Amino acid sequence: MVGVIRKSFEGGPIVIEPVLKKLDAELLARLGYKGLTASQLNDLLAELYHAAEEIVGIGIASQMSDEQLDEFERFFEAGDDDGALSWLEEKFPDYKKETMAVIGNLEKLLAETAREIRQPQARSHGLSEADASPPHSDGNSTKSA
Amino acid sequence: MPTVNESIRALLQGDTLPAKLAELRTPMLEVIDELARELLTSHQDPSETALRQRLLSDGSQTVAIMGQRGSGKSTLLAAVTAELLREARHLVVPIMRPDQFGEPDSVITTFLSELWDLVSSPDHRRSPEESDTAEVARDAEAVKLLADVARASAVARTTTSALEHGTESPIDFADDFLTVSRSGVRLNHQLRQLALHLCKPADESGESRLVIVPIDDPDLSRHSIIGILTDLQILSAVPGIVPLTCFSPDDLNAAWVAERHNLLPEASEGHLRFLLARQMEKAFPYRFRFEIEPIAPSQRPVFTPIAGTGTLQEKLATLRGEVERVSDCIWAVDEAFSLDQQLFGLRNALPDNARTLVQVWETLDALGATNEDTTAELLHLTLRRLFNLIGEPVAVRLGVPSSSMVQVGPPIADGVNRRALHFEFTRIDFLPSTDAEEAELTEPSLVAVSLRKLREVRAAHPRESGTRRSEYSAGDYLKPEEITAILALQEIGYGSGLFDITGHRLYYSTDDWRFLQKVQLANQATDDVFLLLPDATTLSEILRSAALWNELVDLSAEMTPLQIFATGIEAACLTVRREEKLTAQGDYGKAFERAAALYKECLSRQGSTAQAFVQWFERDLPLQWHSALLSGERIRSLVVKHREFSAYPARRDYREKIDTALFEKRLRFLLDGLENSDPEGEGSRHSWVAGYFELASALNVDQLERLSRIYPRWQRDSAGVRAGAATVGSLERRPSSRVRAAPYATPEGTELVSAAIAALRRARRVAHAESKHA
Repeated sequence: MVGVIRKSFEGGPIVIEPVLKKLDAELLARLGYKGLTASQLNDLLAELYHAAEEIVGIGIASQMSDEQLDEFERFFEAGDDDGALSWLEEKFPDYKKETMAVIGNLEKLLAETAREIRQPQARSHGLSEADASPPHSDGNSTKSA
Repeated sequence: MPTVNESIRALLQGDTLPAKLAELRTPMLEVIDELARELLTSHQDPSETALRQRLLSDGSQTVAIMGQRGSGKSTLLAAVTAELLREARHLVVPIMRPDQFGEPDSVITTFLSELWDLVSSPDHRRSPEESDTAEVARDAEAVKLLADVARASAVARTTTSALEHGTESPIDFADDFLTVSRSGVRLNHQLRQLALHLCKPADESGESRLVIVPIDDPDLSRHSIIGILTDLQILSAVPGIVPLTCFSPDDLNAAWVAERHNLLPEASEGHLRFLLARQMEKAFPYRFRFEIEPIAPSQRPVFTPIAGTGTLQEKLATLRGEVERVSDCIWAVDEAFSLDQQLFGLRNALPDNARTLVQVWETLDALGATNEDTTAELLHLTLRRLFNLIGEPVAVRLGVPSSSMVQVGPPIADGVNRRALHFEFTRIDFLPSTDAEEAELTEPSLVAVSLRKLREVRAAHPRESGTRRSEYSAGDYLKPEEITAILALQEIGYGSGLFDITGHRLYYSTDDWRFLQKVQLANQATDDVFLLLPDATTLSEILRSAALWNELVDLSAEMTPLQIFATGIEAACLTVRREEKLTAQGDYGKAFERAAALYKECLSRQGSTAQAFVQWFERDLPLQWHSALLSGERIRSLVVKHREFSAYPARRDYREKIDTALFEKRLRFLLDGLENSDPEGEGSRHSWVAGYFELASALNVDQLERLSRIYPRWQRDSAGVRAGAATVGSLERRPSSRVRAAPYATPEGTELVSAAIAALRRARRVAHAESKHA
């Protein structure tokens, strides 16, 4: 089982726990995002991460009752970030599954977008989609991590 | 203050000349020595000299001092002349001033007249104490030659119409006309004879001497500048005669072109400029030109006039001390006027020419040393003079007299030391500029702050009122020296605390700091009115605030939002505590306590610096107390402390009691806008406004009911951000080493990334919209 670093609200690395999902360049390559520079990979990864964070957060908050909203807010009023996380895990035990679902949907969205963009590009270059390989791309990059 | 006699004595002693002029005086004297040596050579080999003169008859040896009005040209001319008189080696005629010429005067006639006086006196002799026969004979010969030259000069000036009226027959007219037409050549020849006689060494071992002809400001004469230049060229072409002149090239050029244009109306401006350039090269060879540059900003504060004691900076410090004592203000006027380099597009406000600097120095020197007896009357007199001396560039730009731009009134009835003052700066738009692009804050966060550095202080004076900023033309923008002058005037007016001021004020305020920041709360755009510095009105306030703001921007890169706001409070405090340097602050509560202590101190002070801090503390600081940043309990505690200050006695009646009017107005404005864009009133797009609920509740403002309607939405939006950070925020994010990145971006890759980012952002918006209707 691979461990990942979780960041606290204060920003310091504190907890190692089982991985939920890795958002990385290999994932992007599998979705059709090859031939990108390091900067482009980072930008896209950041956008994916931000979208997942925002959509998951909206999803969880929309399920909270008014009482739960008050309870959740009190943890932050008290500066108890760890308490807030424990509370979330207790009240929304499925949040990891939901997170996976959101990320899965975003992956689909990215894969569709890549296909839509790549097809006309490949046609204009007289290549099949599979041939439209990027400069210096790694032939093994489609292997799963 | 040095008297005129003291100044002249100092000039004659030659050791107190300002460095800028002293460094030109030496090479000028060396050039004159060089000309004397050349002359000796020509006297030693008359045949070669005669040949050279026949071939190169128009070579000029005029030594020219060039510079702008008031730059010290006349002082340098006088200093060089004084040095030549002290050396007593050359014949130096008195300094000629063409602006005082009468109708019949000319450079040549004046020269001849002065030379006549000189050779008639034994003082000019190489050995005045000896009165040997040879010297007397030489003088007699000189007088005879002078008379010949004077006659030739008079004939040369005879006009054709005078000849027509003065002759009885055509034959007489023809004879006289021939004589007059040849008189120019004859005058030249006779001048050479005269110069040879006066300048030739007395014996074979002796030195040649020159006839020095100092001419001050020929460009200011009412007479024809072309005529003056012609006379100068005639004199300077004569070996041994060295005109020494000073003028402003701009004024001389303008006068020459205007006169030529009258003579040759069909000639283009370009052609006239071409002719002028050629004439200038002939009349004033580069070898003999000495240009006085404007006084550098770093030199102005340390300026001291000839025979004066103390620098301008020292005088300004005395003024500061006296004004601070009388008005109990905090006034960094000496710092503001000591700027040694261009900063934020602003320059040193002191004049760049010596003459006006002397005026400023004398104005300040009249205050004397620090003196408990200095009266407000004397200070007001000093400040009124400074208004006139400093404000000239703005008055010229606005096309109004200084007196109507800055109107100082009589003493105010209930203010012992105060006067009414009106600034007429209408239709001037004051704005900041930045190089930095506005940041795109895409990372989900409860509070995201992005600051941009202030690059330049700008101001525009559009030709028509109502012109939009985007429609300003390049010519609408004020020059740096004009903006600086406005701020310097405001420094004196607002900073001194000695005036009650009306009229348009130019200052950096809420909208300007707002332009330089972007604040998002729970991923929502806000009105960006969170991190403000006190209003900056005077030159010293603008310079200080701009520097502090940019330091804050640098520090903010490594700080959390709360640390940025705490450091922002510290920056506001340092607009008053000018000697301290901005450092990162981690504790918001402590920063607030320091600001509160300073606020209490400033309540008893006058002047715009203290006043602006008081207003900032009362009006602007609470705008940060938003529940995205601080807990409700913290906000309530801050409000309680803040309100306690309303009990402090304020010295001046300018201070408004801490009230909720401005905050309430802003809330109402925001809520109105929100309802217009979101008729359902749920505030899903701008629910952040409800984060002011705690503040509004503690202040008990009218908008509470409206805020409470959108508060649930804000609570859910902020909970969403927190929940997202707690869950997805735990995922690792790193580029994998197993995928090699491309070395360069391709158009296809760029298109792909752009499309993917757009799709992801669309998905975020859809999620927001769906949650609103859930």
